[in-house]
Amino acid sequence: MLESITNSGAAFLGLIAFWLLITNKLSGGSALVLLVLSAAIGFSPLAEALQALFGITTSLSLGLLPCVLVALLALILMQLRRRRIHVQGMMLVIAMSGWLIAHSAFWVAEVTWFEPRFLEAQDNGYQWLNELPIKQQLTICANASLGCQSVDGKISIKPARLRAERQRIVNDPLLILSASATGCYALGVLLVLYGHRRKHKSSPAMNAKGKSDLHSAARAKIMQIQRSNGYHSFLSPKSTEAFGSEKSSAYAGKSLSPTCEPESTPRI
Amino acid sequence: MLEWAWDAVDPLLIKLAFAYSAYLLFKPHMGIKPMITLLVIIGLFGELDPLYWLFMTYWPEQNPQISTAIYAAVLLPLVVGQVFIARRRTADRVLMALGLCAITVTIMLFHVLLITGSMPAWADRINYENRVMMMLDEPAFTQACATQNRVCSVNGDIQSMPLSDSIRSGIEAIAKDTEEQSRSDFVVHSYVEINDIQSSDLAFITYYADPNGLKVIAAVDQAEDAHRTIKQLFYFLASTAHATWLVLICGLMLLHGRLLNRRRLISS
Repeated sequence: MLESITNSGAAFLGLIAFWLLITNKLSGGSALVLLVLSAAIGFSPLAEALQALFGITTSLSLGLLPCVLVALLALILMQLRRRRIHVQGMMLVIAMSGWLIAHSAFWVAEVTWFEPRFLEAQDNGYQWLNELPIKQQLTICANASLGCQSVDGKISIKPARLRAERQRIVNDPLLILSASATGCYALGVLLVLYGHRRKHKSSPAMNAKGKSDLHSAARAKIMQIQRSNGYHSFLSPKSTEAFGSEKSSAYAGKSLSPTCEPESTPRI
Repeated sequence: MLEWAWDAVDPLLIKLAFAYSAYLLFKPHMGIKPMITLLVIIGLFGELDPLYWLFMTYWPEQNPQISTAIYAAVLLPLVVGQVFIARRRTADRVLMALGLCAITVTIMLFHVLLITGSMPAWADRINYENRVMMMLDEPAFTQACATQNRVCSVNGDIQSMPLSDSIRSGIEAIAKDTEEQSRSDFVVHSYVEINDIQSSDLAFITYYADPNGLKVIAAVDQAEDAHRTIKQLFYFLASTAHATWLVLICGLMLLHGRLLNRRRLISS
């Protein structure tokens, strides 16, 4: 379950990256479709197949990492090529970088530190049992419900028991951390993208394509100042035609500012 | 990599987040200069924490790291509260509030899963091993104790156990409690004096009293090993997460500051 959630989160980030790469914008509907699709990928055997394909045998679900990496690189390239800041792409790059760092830290911590040390302690745990006669070993195993098994005349603790201990102490906490980090990053991306889009949809800083545009913001601000001074905008190419038309007649009778003559207004 | 002094890095990162938050209580925006200045100040004088010192001096029985929780309890409502007051709300304050919330949630999650999750589970595992060892008769028990490098007592003579005073007094407290309750078949699993600024005087203690006698095992090396492993894991993950959050938040604050300055420049 936890692995599936992690896989779904990773798939979601990867799918958004590809979607932004192709369409250049993400609406609420498409995000929902991608969320459903990523859940379907995360909870299907496809994630396991990818994990097997890339040959990653760690208990952490890194099967989809290469996919996300490719998407991340593509997004960075896209950012470098563009002059204007694409807010959705930036947000995604930031979130995915954070997620990758978090996921790599969990993986490094588990593989290089926590699991080897725990396994060493576990291996040393019942060494004293081997020093006893076989009959006594079997009696203790039965009394303590250790679930011992005999392999080549030697008694050892059943791997299932040791695996369960390792799962409870090492794997589960890191898996929970991994799933929460991935889930938080995926949901965070969704919320920030939605919040940013909502905030800027009604803002003059948003151009017709729904992109945050500094020049649009500046233009809108200048238009606003000129309107408040009783002027019509001279910024558009049709400004000269508009002068004296029906629109400009709305300002008939209003005195023009002496410092800002229409003819001398600089074009921006 | 995990052997590095992560336990020195993470407290400084947390204090840096507190310092940035405190700065934004008084100033609406944060530029690169205050960021670097506070980084240098915390790097040089971060160890000189007055509240930590107060706890160490006047309440030595308390974990002095409560001071971090006190700082968070004071700063978090103030920083988050500013976001809900329209005239005090700025992009930098919103970002810092988000960052501080993320840092607090992250450290709580790590604490719950590792310190109060994996650590007691590891202690339970060692105590179960000890309990199985106690099934042996006296000579075999003594032999197993020597093999497993554990400090054992079979006759109730706690004073002769080669342990530190604090561990011995912990065992005596268990013995006194057992006598007072007149229990004839009694097992206590406990661990003594564990907090993350302490690396000695740690032990997983298994105390078993029945009508045939008293057996005590103190697993000192195992407790220190488990403590060191989980402590390093906790601080490595916390340092990575907190550094990531801080870099992201500072990056976004600087980016917003730059955009804001450009907008101001254009509109003026």
